[in-house]
This record gives sequence, C-alpha cells and structure tokens, in this order.
Amino acid sequence: MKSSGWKIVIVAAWISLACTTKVSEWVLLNAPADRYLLAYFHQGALPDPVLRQNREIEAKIPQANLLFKQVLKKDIDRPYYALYYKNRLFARYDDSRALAGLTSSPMRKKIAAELMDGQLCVLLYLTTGNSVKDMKGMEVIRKTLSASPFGKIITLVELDRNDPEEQHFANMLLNVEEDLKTISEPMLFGIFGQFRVLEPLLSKGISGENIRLMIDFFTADCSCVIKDDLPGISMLCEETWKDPVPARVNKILDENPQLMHR
Amino acid sequence: MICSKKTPLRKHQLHVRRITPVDYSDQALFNNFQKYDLIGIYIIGCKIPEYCYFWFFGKISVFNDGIPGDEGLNKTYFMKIQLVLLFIIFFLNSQSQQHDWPMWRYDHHRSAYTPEQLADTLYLQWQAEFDARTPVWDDPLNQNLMPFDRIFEPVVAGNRIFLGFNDKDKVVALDLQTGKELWHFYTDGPLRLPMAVNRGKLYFTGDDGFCYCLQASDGSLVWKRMLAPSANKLLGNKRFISMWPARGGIVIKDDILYTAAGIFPLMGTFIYALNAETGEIIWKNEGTGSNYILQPHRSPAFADVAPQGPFTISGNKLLVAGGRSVPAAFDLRTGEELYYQLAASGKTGGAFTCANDLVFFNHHRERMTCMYDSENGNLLSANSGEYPVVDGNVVYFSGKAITGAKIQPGKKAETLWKANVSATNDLIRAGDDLYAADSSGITALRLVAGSPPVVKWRYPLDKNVVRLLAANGRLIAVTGDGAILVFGDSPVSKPMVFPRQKPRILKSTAKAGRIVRNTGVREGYGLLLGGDISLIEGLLATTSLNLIVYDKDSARIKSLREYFDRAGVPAERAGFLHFGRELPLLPKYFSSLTIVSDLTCTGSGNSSIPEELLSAARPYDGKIIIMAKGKEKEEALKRFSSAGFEDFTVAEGNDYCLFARTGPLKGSSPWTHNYGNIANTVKSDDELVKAPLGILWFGGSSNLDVLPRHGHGPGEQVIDGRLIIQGINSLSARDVYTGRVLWKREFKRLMDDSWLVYYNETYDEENPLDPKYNQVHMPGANARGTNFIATKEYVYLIEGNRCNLIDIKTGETARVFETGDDSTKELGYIGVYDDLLILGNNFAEYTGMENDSIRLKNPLFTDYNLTASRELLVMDRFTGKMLWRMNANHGFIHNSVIAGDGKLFCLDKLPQYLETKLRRRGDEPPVGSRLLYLDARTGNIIHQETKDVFGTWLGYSAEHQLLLQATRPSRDMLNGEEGKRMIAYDVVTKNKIWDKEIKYANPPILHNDKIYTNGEAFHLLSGDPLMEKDPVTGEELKWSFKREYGCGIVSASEHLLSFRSASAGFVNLESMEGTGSLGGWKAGCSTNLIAADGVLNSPDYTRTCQCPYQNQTSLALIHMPWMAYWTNSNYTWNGSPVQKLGLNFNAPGDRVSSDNVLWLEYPFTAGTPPGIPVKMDTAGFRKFRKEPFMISSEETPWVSASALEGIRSLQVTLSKEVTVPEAFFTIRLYFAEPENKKPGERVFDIFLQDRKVSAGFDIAGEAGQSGREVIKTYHGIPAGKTLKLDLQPLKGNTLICGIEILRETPLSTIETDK
Repeated sequence: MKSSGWKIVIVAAWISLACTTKVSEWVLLNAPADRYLLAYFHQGALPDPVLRQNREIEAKIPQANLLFKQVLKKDIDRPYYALYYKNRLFARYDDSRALAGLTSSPMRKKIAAELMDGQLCVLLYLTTGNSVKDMKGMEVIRKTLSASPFGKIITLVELDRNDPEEQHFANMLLNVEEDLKTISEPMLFGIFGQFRVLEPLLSKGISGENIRLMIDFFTADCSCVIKDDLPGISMLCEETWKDPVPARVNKILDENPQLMHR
Repeated sequence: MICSKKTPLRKHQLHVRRITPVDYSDQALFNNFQKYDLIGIYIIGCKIPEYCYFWFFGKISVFNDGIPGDEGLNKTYFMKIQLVLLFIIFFLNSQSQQHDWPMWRYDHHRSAYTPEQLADTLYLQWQAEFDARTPVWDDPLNQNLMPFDRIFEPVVAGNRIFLGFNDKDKVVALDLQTGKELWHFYTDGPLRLPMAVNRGKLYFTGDDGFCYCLQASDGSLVWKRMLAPSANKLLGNKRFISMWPARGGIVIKDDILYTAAGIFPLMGTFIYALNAETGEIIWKNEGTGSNYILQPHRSPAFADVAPQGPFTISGNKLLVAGGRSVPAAFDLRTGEELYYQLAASGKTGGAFTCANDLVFFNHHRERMTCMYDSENGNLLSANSGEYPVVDGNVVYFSGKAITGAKIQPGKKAETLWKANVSATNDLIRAGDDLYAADSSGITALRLVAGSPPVVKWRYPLDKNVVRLLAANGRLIAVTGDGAILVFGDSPVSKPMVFPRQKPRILKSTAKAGRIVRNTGVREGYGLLLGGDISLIEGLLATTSLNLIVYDKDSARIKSLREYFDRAGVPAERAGFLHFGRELPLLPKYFSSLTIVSDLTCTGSGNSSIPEELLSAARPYDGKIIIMAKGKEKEEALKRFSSAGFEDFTVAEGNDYCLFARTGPLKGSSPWTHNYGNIANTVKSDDELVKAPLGILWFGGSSNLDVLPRHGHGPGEQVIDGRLIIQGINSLSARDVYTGRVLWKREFKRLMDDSWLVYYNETYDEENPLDPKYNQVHMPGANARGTNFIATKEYVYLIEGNRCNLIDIKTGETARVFETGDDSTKELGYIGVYDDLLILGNNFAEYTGMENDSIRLKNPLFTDYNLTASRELLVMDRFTGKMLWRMNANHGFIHNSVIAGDGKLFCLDKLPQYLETKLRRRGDEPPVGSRLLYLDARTGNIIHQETKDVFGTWLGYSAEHQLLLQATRPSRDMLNGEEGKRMIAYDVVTKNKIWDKEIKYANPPILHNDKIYTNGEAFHLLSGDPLMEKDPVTGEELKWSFKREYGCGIVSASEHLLSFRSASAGFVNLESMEGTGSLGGWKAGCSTNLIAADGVLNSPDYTRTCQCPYQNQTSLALIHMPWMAYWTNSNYTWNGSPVQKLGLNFNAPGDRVSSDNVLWLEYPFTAGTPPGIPVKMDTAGFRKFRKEPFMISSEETPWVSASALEGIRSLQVTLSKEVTVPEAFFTIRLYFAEPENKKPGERVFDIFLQDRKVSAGFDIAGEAGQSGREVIKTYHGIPAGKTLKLDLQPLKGNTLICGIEILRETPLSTIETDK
C-alpha cells in the first residue's frame, strides 16, 4: 500500500477510536489545555531590573499553559501584571512577588498526577470554613462515591478556599463562573482531562443525583458535540501531559452493564 | 517523436527545443524514448517533407515511416544529408524566427515563452470584436480559481488564429494577417477549455463530452472521439451538455494528446492519452475518481481529482488540473495516478498551472501562485509570485512589477531583479523580450543579462488587455470585453475593425403563437423534435424558453446553427443537435415544453422514445405537444398513452395532442419548515430519492443569493417543484428540476433581522478572494429556527413585526399580516399548519439569567433570548384573521412549536442550559415550565405536563400519535443542548410511553417506527437501540453509521439519510453498508441535502467557504439505478463464523449487493480495516479499475469493474473460533477482462480448497468480449477455519474481480464446474 493509503487508514482508525472513547479519555488524550495570558502592562521603556524580572518570569513558565506578553499601555497609572483567560480578566497583580505559585501548587501537582495515573476524574471540594456547611456537603459526596462503581477511580480532594498556598488555584476555580466569588457555599468541582474544570455543583446542588450525573458525563461516549464545545475551563498547570494513562472505564462498564448509557 | 509519410508537414518552420542531456546514441535507449521524448534539434523539412531528421550529439539518423534509421547508413549518404540540412537552415534563415503559439501559454509546460522574436516596434493591424465571454461558473471565487473561459484563449498556427466560443458552441479560424474569418466549425456543446494545434491539426474538447480534431487549414473534421462513457445528457451550467463534460484542457507532447471528461468523481472521471494523429486511446484512467482520500478538512471521502482546466506536463508527469484544487499528477506513460495533495495543500489551488520539468506553479488567489515539487506535489514555497513565465529554471513573475527569478538546484527561487513595469493582467516572453499587459496597455521590455529589462515599446490602450500571444510575426492581444487585437511590424494607415455582431430582431410566427396558446408555456427549457425554422424563431421571439432542437437531417442542423448564429442567438437560447438513430438519455424532468413536429423522431413500434420524452417532462407544469393529424395523431396518442405514465392528462386539438404533467411525481414529497414539516420529523416522505444517485443538473445558481454558511441560516424548503432559499436580504425561488432561478426578491428589513442571528461582522462580503473571507460559526437557525415557510400558495416571511405573504409563483408580495399589537417589535417564530399561520410574538427575555457564567463562552452561543417567543399568535393563513393567542410563562421555545392531528404542541420553559445551571446549584427551575397540548384552532389547553419538562425539542409522529420530547444537539448549537434524554408520550392517552437516558447528537429524526440520530438509531415505540444482523456473521449488531467531518445536521427521506461527511454523504437505509460519498462537492452547513420532489436537492449553501473541494456549485441528484457508489461500512468482524461475505478486489470501497451480501474492498483501504485475515500470494501483481458503468453486468458491474492480476493463492479466514466444524459453502468468483485480451490470451485453472474446480478458464473466451462479467459458481465447497483459492496460469496471467462466500444451509453435495 502506498504511504498515503496507510496514512488514510491510520487517520481513519484514529478518528474511529476517538468516536468510541469515553469523554474522560478523549479529553485527556486529545484536548490540550487552553492557554492563559499573563500580561505586563507598562507605560514606556522598561528599566533593566524589570526586564530581568520579566525574563525570569518568562523562563519559569514554559511548562505551563501560559503565554507571557509585555504590553505598552499609556493610559495606566502604574505598571501591573494581569492574568487573562479567553479575554477575561481573572486577576491583577501589582507586584511580581504576587506571581509566586501562579502556575504550580501542591494541590495542582497532586491532581495532575492523579489524572495522569488512570483516574477518571478528581472531585475537588472547595470548602468555606463554615464547618457545618462543609461537613454536610462532604457527607453527601463520600456517600455517593462509596456507592458508585466508579468510586475507586475517582479521587476526592478537599481545598480550603482561603488556603494561602493555593490562592491562585482557588482564584481560578472561583472564576469558572462569574458569580462564584460572591457565593459563600461549598462547591464541588469535577476535574478531568488535562486539568479541565467543570462548572461546580454548589450548596444544595451537591446532591447524589447531580454527582452521579457528573460521573455519567465523564464515562459517556465522547460525542462530536463535546469535542466541539468542551464544557468548563482549563486551569493553569505545569504538567506536560505526556503519555497519560486513561481511566479503565470500559472495564467497569463491562462488569456493570446496567451502567451503560442506554 | 514519430514522423510519417502520411503526416503533412508545414513548410518553412524551424522548431528549436532545448537539448535533453541524455546520451541517445544507444539505440535501445532511443527506442524507449522515441515515442515520448523530443530529442535534440529537429527540422520539419520544407523540401523533403516525408522525412524527419534527428540530430543528436553530432549524429544524424533518418527516419522514415517512424522507423529508426539504419545505423549502417554509409558515410556518403550521411554527408549528403548534412549538406541538405545546412542548405535548409540557410534557406530558412530569413524566416527562421517564426513560431506558432500552438497551445494555451505556448507549450506543454504552459511556459508562456516562445522563441519568436517580434519587431522592435509593433503596429495595430486589425481588430475583431465579439461579445464578452460569460464564464462557466457564476461566483467570483470560482471564476478566479477556474478562469479558463472568462476570456478568449486563442491559439495560432501558421497564418491562422483560432477562437473557441462558449456561447456559440463553435470554433472560428481567422486570418492572422487580415482578421477575416476563414472558416468556422460547430460543436454539440460549449467550448470552454483552450484548444491546441499540432502538425496542422486543431484539437479541442467541449461540454458535449467529445474531443475533436480538425484540419487547421479548412476546419474539416479529421476525427472526433467521445471521451464521455456514453451520450447521456444533463443540464450543466445552464446548458444541455454531456453528463461527463470534457473539461480536461488539452496538452500535447510528442504527438500524444492528454485530456479528460467528467468533473464529478461521483459520476466517474475519464482521463486519456490519445494518439493525436488518429484519436486512438494510448491509455485511459478511469475509476481513480472514486479513490477514498482525505478531502479538505483532512476528512476522507470517495472523491479524487475532478479534471477541470488546462493540463500541464512537468517532466514525466501529467498534471491534471483539479478545477478548484491543486493538480493531481499522473504517470505520463501509464496513466497511473502518482499523487493528489488535496488535503495537504490547505485552502489553495486552482486551474492555473505552469511548470518546468522539476517544479510547477499553481494558482492561489487572484493571480498569485504557489510553487510545488513536481516529484511529489509538496509545497516548495507559498505565494511565490503572480502567474509566471517559465524559461527552464528562469522565471519571470507578473504583477504590479515584473520579477526575474532563478530556481536553484534546491528548488528554491532566488530573485534576480525587479522591474517596475506593470504586468497585472498578463506577461509573456517572446524571444529576447517580455510583453506585459495591464489595464493601461501593452509594454515590451528587452531582457538584459544580469539586469532588469529595459522598456523598448509601449502601446497605450483604453481597452483592458488580459491575454497576450506572440506568433508568426504578430503580437495578439485579447481584451476582457471580447476583442482581439493583432499587431505587426508594419504601420497600417487604418487598421481594419470587425465590429461586434448585432443580434437581429426575431419575428413571432403564427405556428409558435398557436403552440404557446395551447400549452401556456413561456419559460423554462423546451425540447423540439424536428427543426422547423419558423417555429423556432417564433418561440424564441415570443417566449423566454431555452430550446434544445433535435433534427434527423444533419444538413438542416448545420443550416439552423448558421441561421441563428448569424441572427445573434446564443446557443443557450437555441441549441441544435443531430438526431441519429436514437435519442441520448435525456435528463429527467427538465422540459417545460416538448414539441414533436417530426413524428419520425419518436421512433416506431416499441421504441422507448415516447417513454423517454414523458420522463423528461417537468412535473407540475410540463407539457408535450405532438403536432399530428388524423391517423398519425391517433397512433401517437396510443403510443404515448401506453408508455405507462399515470401522471399525465391528455387533450386534443385538430392538429395536435397535448400531454400535461400537472402534478407532482408519484412518490415524491415536499420539505417545508426547517425540519421537513410542522411536525419536526426531520424527514421527508419522499420515496423516489434513493441510492444509487446521479446528478440531474448542476450550476446555474450560485451561493451569491444565499446566507454565509457558518451562520447556519434557515435551510432551503422545497414544494411544488420550487426550492426557496434565503440570502442576506433576499429570498429566491429555484426550479428543483433544472436549477433555473425562477424569481428573486429583496426585503428591506431582512438584513437587519438576520444580523447577529444568521451572520455577523466576520462575514466580509467585499473580499471573496481573500483567504480570510469567512463567517464564524453561529447557532443561527439551529437555535432561532427559520424565519420563512414555503407553502403551495405563498412563502410566509417574517420581517420585523410583519409577516409577508409572497406569491410562490411570482415572488410578488400578495399580502402583509400584522399582529395588531403595538408592542410587537419582532416576530420570532413562524409555522404553518393546514390553514393556520402560527407566529411567535416578540422574543423571550430570560432576564437575570445572562449575568453569569455564560459570558465565559462565546456569546454567540449563549443568546438564549432568540430561541423562544413570549407569545403565540395563531391566525387564518389566508385572511389574517386572528384566531387565538397565548402568553408564555417563560418562553415558547421555537424548536418545540409543532403541530399534528389538530393539536399544537410546545414547550414553555427555560432554555436547557439555564435549567441545568439551576439544578447544579440546588435550585429548582421556576414554576410554570410546561409541555402543552393545545387545540390548534382554538388554543384551548387539551393537556399539559408540568413534570419532567426538559429539553428544547418536540417531534410528532402522526403515524403512531407519539410525541417525542428531547433536546436539539448538533455542532454549532447553543451551550447546554446536550442530547442526554428522550421522552415519548402517547398523545391519545397522554401517558408517557418511555423515558430514557439516551446520548445522541442531531435533532431526533422520526422515521416511521424509528428514531435516527447522528450515527445511531432507536425504536420509536420503545427507545431501545435499533439492532440489525451483522452482515457477515448474522449475529445481532447495533445499527450505526460513521460520519466524517461536517457541521450540518443529518436529514432523512424514506430510503436515505443525507448529510455532509467530508464531501456530501448519505446512508442507504435499505441495507447496512455504512456511509456513502457523493464525491465532488461539499454540502453546506445548514439543513442542506434535502430529499424532496423526487430530487436530492443540494443548493450551494457554502458561501464564504474557500476550501478546494472539487466543485462549489448548486446541484440536484436523482435515483440512477445504473450509477456506481461506494460506502465505508466501518465493518469490524468479531471472529464468529462467516455466513456470507464478498471481497471486491481493488474496489475503492464497500457496498451491499441486492442479495444482502456485504462486499468489502480488498486490499482494505477505506476506513477501519475489518479485521478479516486475508493472505495473498502473487506473481506479476497488477491492479485494474474501471468505472462500473463500463462493465456489462446485470447486477454487479461494481464488483467486476476492478480486478487484481497475478493472484496465485488467496486464503480467507472464515472463523476465529478455536474449534470450527467444517461446513459447506457456495463460492462465486467474479471475472471481467479489463484489457483488450482476446480469447486464449489469459487462461488459468481455478482451485478451491486445493481441488481443481475449473480447468483452463478463459475470461474473454467465456464472456465473448472484454468488459463483460462472468460469474463462476461452485456449490458445496467444504471449509473450516479458512477458505483457499488458487489460480494457476496456463497462458498469460491470472485475474479475478471478486469472491463471494456463502455458507450453505442445509449442506449440499460437492459439485465442481464441468
């Protein structure tokens, strides 16, 4: 067969594979994380220390899904850094020291490792500090996961929204929807693929039914609709996503035919 | 190069070519090259015309009759010849710089470089004016990509200049010196491609499917070869032409002519190398058009190159112009396709190609080219420069300035110089000069070694010169408005001007008037049998009919052509064709008026001509009038009435009988609303559209009056033979059966209404040639729904706060309905049910819901307010009387407002995304969400569901009185419209029948008792997945199909699912054979491939698309039983015992036979390999493929059209199970001789399971001819895990087309072929 013929076969086979894989697997293998933009707005020529400082910032981020740009903007009072996701401002920093930990944090490393290592998803429970509220939601989550056949391949992590070490991460999570910062309720985020975060369940929405629906989404056959319009947003992260191990969803579905989406 | 005594050689012509750096002293090597390579310097003798002298590397051989000269020629003779040669050179010296311009851009490289050295100063000699050309394609992009007939493209030989006419269907020879017409020659169709001259003969192709060879001297026909596989006709680009128009622009090298017919891979393409002298076929490539290759968007379909444009030769490769794409390369000697970089080349390509022997330049946009490696077609440099002149490795690019460049050994172009002289229209090199043309005139520049050229002559012109040629002492300039200007070296006091011909006023005649009165037909296409000149003139004078006239007398045809040509009647209005022994296959349904004035043209006795004429009559208003009296009339009535057509009425007059096809085609059905009907079934009930499909018409209506594709405007609607489609600010109606534009109407507010709904600022109307010309994806009508409805009487169009009633026959506004409500700002929804007009009054406002996460997404995909209306109004659709109105609690979602069985159903609720969001946050959707059953006439609530109210979609099955509640997931749909659940209600009992979590894409198609979605199917009455039998093992298998890239939805008719799948695509619902391609164009992004009125309608809804799909055009297809098609079954074998299976050797794809056997192509190339192990041992292995159309077979020409030669042994695994009991099989072997082998030339023994079952099998001997199918059947062949076939050659090589394996039940005894 001519090489072009093989190419067609391989591409067709690949496409075919993509259409029968599960959402979690397809997104992990095929949907690179969206890039953030970190912009440094300044009014004119940059002094050497700032240039050095920006070069250092730039040098530190190649692993992350982040683009750094220096932008001349004359109508500002003072220089600042700003973090954008798809043209939307996520945060503004007046000082480069505030950027420490922007692209990496312990929790993100842990989550990325779980996603790389065959977990279907990571459920992140963002707590409020109100123990009564937080406990109530956590009980529902634990109960639901323990009853789910997929429970073993789902990692549950808990994050205090005020954790200083994870402030950037928490800020990104609270930007998944515009009004989340104003809501003081525990939230449950589904994280999958290459650190893609779904819109959260929150408050009374953290119910067994809604958690099961979220799991259903990860375990469903991947459709063109999902490929074209992937829900949720990407998080900043330094993972390379090289050779990930997708979750073995089919094995569980084979063992539990009642879970098939029909 | 072969010369012959029989070849008349032109006088006084010295033809110099570059010496090929090959040592041709070796005779054997020479013999190998003699047919193909032009060697050294050759002189076509003036004194000894019967000889050709070849001089290679100091040695001369004499050839006579094409036979290489005797190496033992004695020295004296040899010297004599040299002396003669020197004498000839001396004799010719004074005229030695004269050269023809024998092909488009001079030669087979299309180099635009001639050695002709023109005088330093040139003077206008004469000027001939003709009508400006009307190019074949209608829109600016197509015209830029395929400019081959936008202007005259003359060629010159000796003292003659030749022009091809696409509007008069003729070739004209003018005297190069005087401009006077010497002769003209009429063809049977438009001439669109440049011609070529070789050895005193003129060659050209036409849309009539023929290649012609004329004597250049007097225009007499030397030979004529039909390149099309048959004489079948269709309407193409508004003309009555061959189904396979010959648009392979002829290129000639070494007396071999290369051309092609067929521009749609679906229909088959035929690429030829012909002996220019005789027209005999040297090779023919067919079947390549069906190759399964990556299309633009890197998604595969059965669609290879569609030859359209001037062919070019680069080295040993024939570059076949791919119309809108890069060219494909074929082996010049064998015709084998070498590469076609369609997908890899991205959004570039076009019919223009020029080359040297190593690289070629191909069109990009405007006049820009990209440079490619001829070896493999890989891009060497993008935007290399504008159309260049190619002189070996030196290239002169045209443009605002002229650039000289050299192609370095690494195939990189290095700029040498730049001259600030404008060559924006054309640039050629003649001798040592460049000639440049732009809108201000012509400039000649003298080339200077190592420096920019120097202007030596300038001729200002107020005409726009767009093409230049230099030949035989003349400079020829062609203008954009149809004039030919010829310059020479001597001043002329008053250049002769041949003015443009003025059309004569035609006279009406009594005969024509009577026919028009009796039939009432004044427009459309007319077919006349019998060339009555006064009738024709009268019809042309009093109607707008386009006439196709057949007559048995070829002399009369010639005189009719002359008469109406002189009268200035274009061939589009009146085409004249000779009626030979029978009519060709006419396009169905095309004729609005058929006039039989010569009864002998209808044949006699059992002739099928009456049947064909009846088939060709247009449904709804087609008339056939037979001019006859007395017994002849009675006879005609009898014959036409007995042809078996029930849908005609008959009337009689004194001297005529009239057959009228006033109604629809039996079994056809309309398509209205956005989803087929008011019930949202997404299905037409049309039973006529089914596989195989072939093209009924193409071209004639472009995408210029259609919304940009990615805005997902409302789909077209089809009713009573009219297709209604929306433009930016207009609606137009087109004839379903011919593509003719019936009317177009503009509306003031429509553009505003559509802004940010069906298009936005990313649509750049002004720059269709800019590769950024685009329209971003928007949900459009997917979310908002349609804004017009076509009915038999009116097109209802909502425009602002009014509803226009547009007469569907004329396009005139008949009435305007208003709501009577001052608060009405805009009407949102529109639907028609029986005599009711349903309107949505004002868009819904989902206040307070927008201010959240949806802003993160593309706002175009979150405008939920457009999806629903605040109020429903129902009025009498004829009077406008308001019958009832109802306010929504939240919003009546447009995609859910449907009707059936006297009821109107709708969802009054939040959009799905907002409901989901509330649930994520633990909130219940606000109260008031409901699924309503209303009395359609009164608005009374019959029933309402308030529980389980979800989704955005309702569909109604009248057959099962079942209401389906769902969402509407598809590409380019609002956020949140995932397909996750369906509920079916019994409308009579109001009970839920089933409620299932079902993952699906596509609006659910209600197809009798099934639901089809994108790739899957479910039982309507249970929601269970549809199961079918595995075609190979007979086991249960989930029904599915795979769809390649495409953003429109799947729509259905009775026998077909249609959709875009890379190209246009379909699923044949009659068998489980996977996804088929309709190769050769891409369907649009809206609901676009619509089966209705007996036709698969595919209006060009791809505006703003610049991808190089083979064609970008409107077209329509109908069922053609004899047409081939291929599918990608995506079949995967599970290893269970094979029950039945076919292997179709070297076929491009899969297909299921009428006895339900799945035939897989082998070797497996299309789609996923099926996993059936096949072992093959071969010797002298070769592949063959022909178009199935060319094979004589009752059922399976598509099996016997392709073959593998040289198979010695073939082993097919029949089961992967561990223990397999032996069973008995019927084995059928398929054969057809693909070459011209005679009986006895290919003989072999056939063994099955090591037993000889046929001895001395001779395909040609048994078939009686090549191309005829022979099937050998063997019953009772025992086999377990494997089946083994051995073919042992006795004479020649083995060959087989296909093997069919059928498990027998019950077991039978073993029989062998005797």
